Amino acid sequence: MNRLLRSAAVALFERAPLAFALCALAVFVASPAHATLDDQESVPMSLTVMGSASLSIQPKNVSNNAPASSLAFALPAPGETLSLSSQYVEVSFNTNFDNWKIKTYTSSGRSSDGINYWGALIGPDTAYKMYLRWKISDTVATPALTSGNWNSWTLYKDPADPDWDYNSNYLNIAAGGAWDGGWAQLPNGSSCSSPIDLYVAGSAASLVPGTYQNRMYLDFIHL
Amino acid sequence: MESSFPSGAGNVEARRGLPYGAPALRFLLLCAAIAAAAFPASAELEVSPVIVEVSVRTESAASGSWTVRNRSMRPATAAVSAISYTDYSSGRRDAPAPSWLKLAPPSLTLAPGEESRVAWTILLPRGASGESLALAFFEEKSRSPGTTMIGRIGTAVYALASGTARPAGFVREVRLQEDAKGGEFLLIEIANTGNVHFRPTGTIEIRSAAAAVEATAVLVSGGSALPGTGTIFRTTAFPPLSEGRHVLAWKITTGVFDSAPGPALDGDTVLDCRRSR
Repeated sequence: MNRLLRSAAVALFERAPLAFALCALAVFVASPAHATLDDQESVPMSLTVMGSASLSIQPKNVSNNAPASSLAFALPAPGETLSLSSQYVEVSFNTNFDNWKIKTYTSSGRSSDGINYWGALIGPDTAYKMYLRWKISDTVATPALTSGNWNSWTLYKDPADPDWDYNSNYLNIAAGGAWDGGWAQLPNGSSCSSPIDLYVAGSAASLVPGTYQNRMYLDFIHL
Repeated sequence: MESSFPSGAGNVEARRGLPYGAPALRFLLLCAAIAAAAFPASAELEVSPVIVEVSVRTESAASGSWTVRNRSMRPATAAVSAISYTDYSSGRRDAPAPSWLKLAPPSLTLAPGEESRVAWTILLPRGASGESLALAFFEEKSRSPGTTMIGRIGTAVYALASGTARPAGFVREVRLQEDAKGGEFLLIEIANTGNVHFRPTGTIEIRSAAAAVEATAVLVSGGSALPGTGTIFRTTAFPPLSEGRHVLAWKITTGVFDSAPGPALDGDTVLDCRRSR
């Protein structure tokens, strides 16, 4: 407690002990987060803090839902270009804030050249990429992956993409709020509850052996 | 996420030029393939608060803290970082932290069930005007090399230079939507033309052509309208409206800024309901 607050507290205690006690209690109860004023002078300041949230992500085998330590893709078979990851990501989340989104995207760290797309696992020769797409589900149910439904999978976007738009639906896997008893919904508008399951698939016309990589994020954003 | 053909037990080293037609080799290639680097089972980190809104005089520091708790059954290390919202939304992921926001410590190691604090300090420079927005991210640090699948909790830090708030905005558009339960609700796009965010609250009264009140919808609270943006908010649901002309009249408040109420965004519009048969 700084000098000014201390002085004010002493004055209040001497003049109105009961009021002092009530104020002290109010300050304790109303300050869930810690905040301090500058010690040098009286600084007009207001502070509002809200909400709490938790998040955990766990890869699990598509085959048996057992916890796994990684996401793995098999190379597409000859004549095929699509590959579903052998694992999905179970996303467990909880929040009591009124406005949140969970976003997923890759982050290659590259600068946009206005031409190429980077929502992919990228080989040492950047001409070789496994482009990634995702689907989100409220239940553990492996989505179908065929050339016919590939466009129903959502493109993974990267900030280096020419059309990067943080607010686009390509990034949002879930959104919700605490009002109305708490709600959460998937991009298609259907309601959901934690956990939700993120499936990832890749497309590659041809790949050469090597290390393919990218950074992938799941951001649980509160604004 | 990383794909590799590392050497070692259980892995396959793939080389160019191998005869793909060889059945055994093809099997191995199909199995080993693009194995992502590990991202181990994550701890469950809990962070509180998720929103920090501060009004502070320039050149005077303000400070506070987050509480970070490890809710899992194993130790966890949480890494903490900050980025301006402009850099983050623009995709400049590796941009340096905003100079006006300091976080400490940059990481925490927590035993199962343990909680600790991360302190924030805000110092706006002389001449700062309006509001600065940053996101502070809390992520569990991976224990495996090369892990690139990252789950993070992002919390917003709004810092307003005291005395410089100029809240302003208007309702740009109102649309009627059906919900999954057979009711209807309104989507309201609110443009923020000021220099500080606000969280609009209010009601929309819907009257029929006969001036009877058919519904009163409540603007759902919590969402943030950021300066320079148009943001869509929804209302609570109501029974389907009758066909024909309706007048929608809204009373929306924007909050309090430096102890003064912000502008009201009151207005009205006409809605013509026509249902396809």
